[in-house]
Amino acid sequence: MLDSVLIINPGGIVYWKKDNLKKELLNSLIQTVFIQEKEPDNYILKYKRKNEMIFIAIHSRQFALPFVDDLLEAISAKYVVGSDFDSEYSAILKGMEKTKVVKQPKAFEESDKFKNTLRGSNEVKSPKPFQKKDKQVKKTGKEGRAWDASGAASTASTTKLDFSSEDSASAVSKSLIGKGLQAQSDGTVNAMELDVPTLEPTKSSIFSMFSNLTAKPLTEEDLVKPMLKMKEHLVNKNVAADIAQKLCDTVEKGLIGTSVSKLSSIDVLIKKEMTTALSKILTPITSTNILHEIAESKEREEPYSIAFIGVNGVGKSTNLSKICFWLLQNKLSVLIAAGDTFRSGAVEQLKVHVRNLCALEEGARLELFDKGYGKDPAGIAKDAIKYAKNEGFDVVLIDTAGRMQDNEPLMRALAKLVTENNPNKIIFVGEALVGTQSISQLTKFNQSLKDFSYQANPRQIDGMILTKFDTIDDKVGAALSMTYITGKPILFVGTGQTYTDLRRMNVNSIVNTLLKD
Amino acid sequence: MKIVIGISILLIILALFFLTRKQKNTILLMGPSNSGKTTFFLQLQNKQSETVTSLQENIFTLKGKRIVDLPGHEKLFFKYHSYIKETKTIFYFIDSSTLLSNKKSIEMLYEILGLNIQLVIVCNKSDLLLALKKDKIKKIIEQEIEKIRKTKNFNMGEEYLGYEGEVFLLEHLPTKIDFVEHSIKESTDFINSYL
Repeated sequence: MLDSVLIINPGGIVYWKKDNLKKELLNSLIQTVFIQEKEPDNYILKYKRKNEMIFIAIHSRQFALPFVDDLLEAISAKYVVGSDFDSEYSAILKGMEKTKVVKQPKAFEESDKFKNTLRGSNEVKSPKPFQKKDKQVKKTGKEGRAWDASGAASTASTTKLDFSSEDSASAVSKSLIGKGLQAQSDGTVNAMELDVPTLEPTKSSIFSMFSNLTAKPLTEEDLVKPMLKMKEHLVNKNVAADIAQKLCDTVEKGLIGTSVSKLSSIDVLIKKEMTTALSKILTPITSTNILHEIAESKEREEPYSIAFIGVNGVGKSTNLSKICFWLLQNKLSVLIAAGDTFRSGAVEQLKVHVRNLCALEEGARLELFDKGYGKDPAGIAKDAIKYAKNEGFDVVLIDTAGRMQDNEPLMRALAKLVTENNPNKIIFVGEALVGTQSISQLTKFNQSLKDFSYQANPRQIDGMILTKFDTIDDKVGAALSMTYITGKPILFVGTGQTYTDLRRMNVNSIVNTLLKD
Repeated sequence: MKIVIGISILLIILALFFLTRKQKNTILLMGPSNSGKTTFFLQLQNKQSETVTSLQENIFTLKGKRIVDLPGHEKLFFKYHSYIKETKTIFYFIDSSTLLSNKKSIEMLYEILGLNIQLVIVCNKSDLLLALKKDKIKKIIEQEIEKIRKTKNFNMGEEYLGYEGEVFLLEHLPTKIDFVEHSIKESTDFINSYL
């Protein structure tokens, strides 16, 4: 019933395996679990790290195989590199089947309930009494920003928050948004600059002799305090507490057993691992080059449609018009579909934007497609796309009404819009101010899109826009939380309310800002 | 006397400078997932094994040069930054049999072309039936880069490759780029000229 058992080294070399899976499926599962750090859909992958080797067992999600943990334990204990393992493995397997007969009350670690949690289903730990109470998620409170009676922030960051005195371009180019995101005079969006800093090891060649003398492997106790400090640091930067916890657990897992000398501190090591982990999470897996995708759509003579979804008040219509401006600057013709038929003034707001943008950009081809209020947004979107195809528009931007993630009828309506029109990109608009709510919003939006679509391969959120970035100082944790949950990239960052306040996210500067004190 | 001390201090400083300066002694193996980097890495050591997608880099030393096999997954692409300062040559692997359906992998190549480091494009898996020849692969790369070039905004940090107004050709780049066809059935001796 096991589909695959393998012993590999992290560099990708297979020492031994016994499997029935196709190579692409196997690689995809390994990549999902180890690189994207998510649970695969139809399979369960369990692993154990030991001595620079990873022991993996994969089976279908339909079965709950309780002996897998013991199997991995036994294999990791018995395996010797280079030996012919087939006969030993069969022996171990036979031994497992015999011991299955004796049933003892299971420890919590072995129960199915624990396996269904993210931690339990991924890592197989040697049976230990469950005493990790201090690692349970305790929401450390966020420091509220103190406002005095006049409404101004009474902290020292008042001047930092005030962008009104300087012109928007230079204000935005301050500390947080790094050199890759400076405003250009023509407002074009800048390309993403990926320049992750490398933390050089603190030893030079002369001292390495000495540090090796004092090197000792890290244990769990050594890491408890520093990891807690790191977790608090992340939560202070507005990373959702659950996610900070998961991240710290991952980093801790990777550090246990590595040797560290007294000369380099544990904090430096943690920072280095954390930088790698954060860069991995924030680096997009799909290309974020929308212009390239639009060009391909143009070749096929189809309009490229983008739907903007999100909860109320996050800035969908505002950022839709910013993206529209960007597209017009790149000489594309745009049709805006007024899919918000609920909020008073939504259509008029878009009319004003269209008027402004046509005035700003000479020779631009921009139209608004609306059918007033009260009509079915899915139908409007469909007609808009048809109209765009007939009239030869390059891009269709579909505005939708804001809705709370718990509102079932509205989520159904959204899923219907997505299913019927199949937009090329579904962009979730979220504010950078959001804290732990971001987890709930994103998970429930994705869940609703999956549940209410009645399709075999339902659409999910393809990308995100993080808005109101100019209001958060250096507390950029929302970017991390949102990317961690969806695994999808942050396509743009909104930094103000004018048409040029749109930036690409610079992974490097976000990681730096998250980790600096 | 003072002059002698002065000169000897200068010599010591110069010696330390040369000793600690990072020498370019690294060769990187890069490319999209499943292009055959780790298999090539093993072949260089006269080993052979099945492989799965690499989660971290593999390193060994061959004739004084450090060979680094980097993972191909997009999320781990940033890893090359920590080796780039000491890199003499980059070997970029392409699966010759699946390139037509996998043109997105050329976006990764775009960034590497901008680094101005000697590049060898290894058209791997040339023994397979659907494998393209290196001339065709060169053309496909040039066409894709032409497309990508049009859609990128060149402000901070991103290079505009080639010449404006002219169709992009690899010859327009200042770096030396070689093309090699390879497969596991062939020997890895071609690497000797780059060591």
